[in-house]
Amino acid sequence: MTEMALAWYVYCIVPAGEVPTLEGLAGVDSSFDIGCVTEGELSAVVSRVRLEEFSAEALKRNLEDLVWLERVGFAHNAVLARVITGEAVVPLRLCTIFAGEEGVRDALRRERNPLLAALRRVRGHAEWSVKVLVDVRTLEAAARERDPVPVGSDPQSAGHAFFARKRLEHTARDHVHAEIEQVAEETHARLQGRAAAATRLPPQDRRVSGRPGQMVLNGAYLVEGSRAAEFAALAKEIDASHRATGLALELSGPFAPYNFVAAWNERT
Amino acid sequence: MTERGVGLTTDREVSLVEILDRALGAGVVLTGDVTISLADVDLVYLSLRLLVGSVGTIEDGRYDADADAVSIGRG
Repeated sequence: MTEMALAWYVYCIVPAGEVPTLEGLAGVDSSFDIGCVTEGELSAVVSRVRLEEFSAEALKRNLEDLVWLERVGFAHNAVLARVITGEAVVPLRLCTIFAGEEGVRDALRRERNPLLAALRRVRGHAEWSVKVLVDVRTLEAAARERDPVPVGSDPQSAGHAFFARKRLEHTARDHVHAEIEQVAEETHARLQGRAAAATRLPPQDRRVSGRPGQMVLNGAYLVEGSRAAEFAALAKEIDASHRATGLALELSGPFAPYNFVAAWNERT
Repeated sequence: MTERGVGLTTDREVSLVEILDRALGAGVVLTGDVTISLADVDLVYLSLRLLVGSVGTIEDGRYDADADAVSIGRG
């Protein structure tokens, strides 16, 4: 039997000596344990994978295979969920693959300074997600009820009445949308006030978010561990104040600080 | 308010979309030996489109911007 060609899957980077216990965790390939590769002050959390599954060519195919993507996505997330019990972690993008251990060490040496800077920045913090979801149709209906469209104000002209009604409907819709954006902005600003850093991500399409209503805020917040309860309380308070108007907040987390580690390359 | 995974870190509390939104959409790109254009947003959306398309209960073309929300579900 020919020997399987193996590669290294890197999940995240932590300060050397701060690797949490990884016992009992399955890697993205469940036949291999999670371990770490340490170079100087940095440790990479890794596991072995089969190259036939994680080569560039195989990845192109596999990333479009939802069963595969789901399995790998959840396994990757489970490792990060364990690692964020520590104080500092730089999460890497899904499917970061190296041919061998030496390649991982090279990358740790090459990116030492930005990685150390990112670890310093996120130390003691976690990422939280707050989404604002609205039922636009219900809001529009409520707006129409508040300001009913006059009917028959000009009995001479049914056409005029029709266009007047349309105009008012459009005005109501614009009004509702402006109102929604204002709530999204205010919500983001208030949450940002309790966070070390914050960013607005593109709202998830409702077809994939699996949530009723339209997402008008997909906020990511870097929150200090000791302020997490305070942050959640504020999210609850904002949610309660908007409940009656058909807006709902959704809080999720803690996540590894995916959106706050890439200062030197992506999405800044 | 809906809270997902608050105080918990069990992976099943978080949806796949939530994971991919972060693990594909963000995170540090460390140039590995196997390079694939994961930075390419199109790939993410292609995957997500497939995610929607793969759900058996959704009929092709039934959903559009105004359609009711469909749940991608997890089985």
